[in-house]
Amino acid sequence: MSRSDRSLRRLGERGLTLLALVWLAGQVALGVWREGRAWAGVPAGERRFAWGASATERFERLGDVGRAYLLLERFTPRRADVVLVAPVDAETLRLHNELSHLAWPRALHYLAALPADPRAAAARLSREVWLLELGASRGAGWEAFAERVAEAAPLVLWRVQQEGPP
Amino acid sequence: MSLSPWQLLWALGLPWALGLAILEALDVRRRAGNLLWLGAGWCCGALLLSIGVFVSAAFGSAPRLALFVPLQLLGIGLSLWRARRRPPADEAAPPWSWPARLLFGLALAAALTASADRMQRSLTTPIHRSDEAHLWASRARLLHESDGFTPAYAAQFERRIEVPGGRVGFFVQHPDYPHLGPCLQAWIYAVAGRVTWTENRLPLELFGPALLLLLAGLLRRAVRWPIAAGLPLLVSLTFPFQQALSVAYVDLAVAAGLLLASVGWLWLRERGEPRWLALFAGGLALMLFAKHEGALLSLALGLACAVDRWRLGVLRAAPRPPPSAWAWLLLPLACAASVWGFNSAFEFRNDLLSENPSGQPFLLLFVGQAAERGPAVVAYFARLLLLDLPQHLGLPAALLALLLLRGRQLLASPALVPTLSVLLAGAGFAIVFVGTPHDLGWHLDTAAYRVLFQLLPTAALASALLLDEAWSAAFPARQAAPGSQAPAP
Repeated sequence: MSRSDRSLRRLGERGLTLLALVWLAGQVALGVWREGRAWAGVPAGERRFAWGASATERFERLGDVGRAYLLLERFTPRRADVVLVAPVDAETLRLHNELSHLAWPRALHYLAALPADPRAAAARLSREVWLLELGASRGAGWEAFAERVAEAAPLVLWRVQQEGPP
Repeated sequence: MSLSPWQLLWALGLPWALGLAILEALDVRRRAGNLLWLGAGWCCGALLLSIGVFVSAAFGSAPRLALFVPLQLLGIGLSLWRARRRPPADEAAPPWSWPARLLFGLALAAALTASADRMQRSLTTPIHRSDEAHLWASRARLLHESDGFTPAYAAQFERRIEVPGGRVGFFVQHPDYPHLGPCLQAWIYAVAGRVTWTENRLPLELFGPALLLLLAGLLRRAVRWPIAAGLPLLVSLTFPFQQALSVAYVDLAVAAGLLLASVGWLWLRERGEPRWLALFAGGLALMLFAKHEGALLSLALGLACAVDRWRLGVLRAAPRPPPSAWAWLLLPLACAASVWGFNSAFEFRNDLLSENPSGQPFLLLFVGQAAERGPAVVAYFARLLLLDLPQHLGLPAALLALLLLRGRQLLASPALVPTLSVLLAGAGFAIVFVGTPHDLGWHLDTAAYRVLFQLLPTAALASALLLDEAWSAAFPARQAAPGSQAPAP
């Protein structure tokens, strides 16, 4: 390799090394700028909320799923069978999926519509049965066999009666 | 919050102190520096705690404070007693000028502060959805409520629910996954005396700051200050890292494990002392006990180390640890065996391997799908790693460029192991995606960025070492400038 070749190669190495350094420095600057904006964009009180909020306040921020959990936690026994009654749509599936984690060890079932013999359907479940009704099913005639327990719009919680007229 | 700040402090501080004390007994702090010691301390302490919780569960008991607190205190006491009996062996970091030290400290402080802020903000939302609920927290709750791996624990896996796609696990999905995440969360439940909804994220999120400390600690002794200051900060600013700091996933632990094992190897190849083999084994064990990807990453790292060992043997007489030191490798082997034994006992199978929906062995799937899916997977990886700049802030592109620049010198470089393990692991992930029995688009979109993130901190380490070498080669006159360069560990 001639001297001029070596010089040229050294020059190339220097250029590429500087390019890599500048590239990484630029990416750090980009990241810092982005993080700084995100930091400034955190709503006032959010950090205080992280340490100071109660469990109820935290769950209420989750919307329907959080309110449903609070209803279940306050009013149903830990080993209850809970039937989620709502039309089949993406929102209900999400609610079902997320509630199955929050409500455990309660067993969570799913019902799209009132069955022909709701008491028989409830009897097949092994534990105390509760209905969690999501908005759209309102007025489905639960009063005939279930007792209204609590409400947290748009959710209504019913306890299936063990005795009485169907 | 279910835990008071005081409870939280000792729930996280006790295992951390245990890890630090053990590393102090191994004389890691004075040889590798405080930063690396602090980072590795959390990795080792959390790993030991999770192994303890797993063993306790195997004997039919959820973690009991009356057992675990004295055991950890005993471990700390014994380690510190052993540390006192050692002759002093301070190995100072290379001298840097005070502005260099100041800027390095400021960059690290900024990275750690931003990480702590992310972790804090994750406390606002209870765990209720996605993988953090159904893969990890659910198993921790089961462990807590069922009093260990009892029949009540097993019964929960039999329950299925009907969804439009068929029958799926009711409460726990992928019960075959390893145990680090559930065991650490169960420890937080034990300290709180009940299931918590947010604080159980913290022990898993803490692997983020730990890996930043690990990276900064090694680079402080191995490269020039601008590189040592910039790379940990860059890792902390990437999207996948920030996202991992907001959820109770175990990808940070896997990433920290790979980095810890790589760091251990870098010291081992220079010094040959058993303590570095202990660090290497700890990193492997952490990966294997955290997630199945750990097995693939361990294989990639093992191959890279074998190549490095062979090259070192050719180049010079590399120091070798005494034969008894290899016993440290029993730790990762035991972790892998425990995962395998648990899955055999409960008859759990992996959805990619023996229990995939197509019913075909993975190898057959891979061969059959390679021609169709191979190009799509490579294109997806290339787009994610090289073109989607906000994701990884140009780190993979920088590593690629440095490889082109320093490729010929790589085989003789300390950067060989981190570089080769990242490349081999990336190829391994590509093979997994090609052979996946799931819908390729869905699988790539939901998993690719997370598993590739596991390689990012080690890729940053490789980039830093290569960049420093390129700097030395391109500007040799400045190499001897005071405070500019340190010998590689």
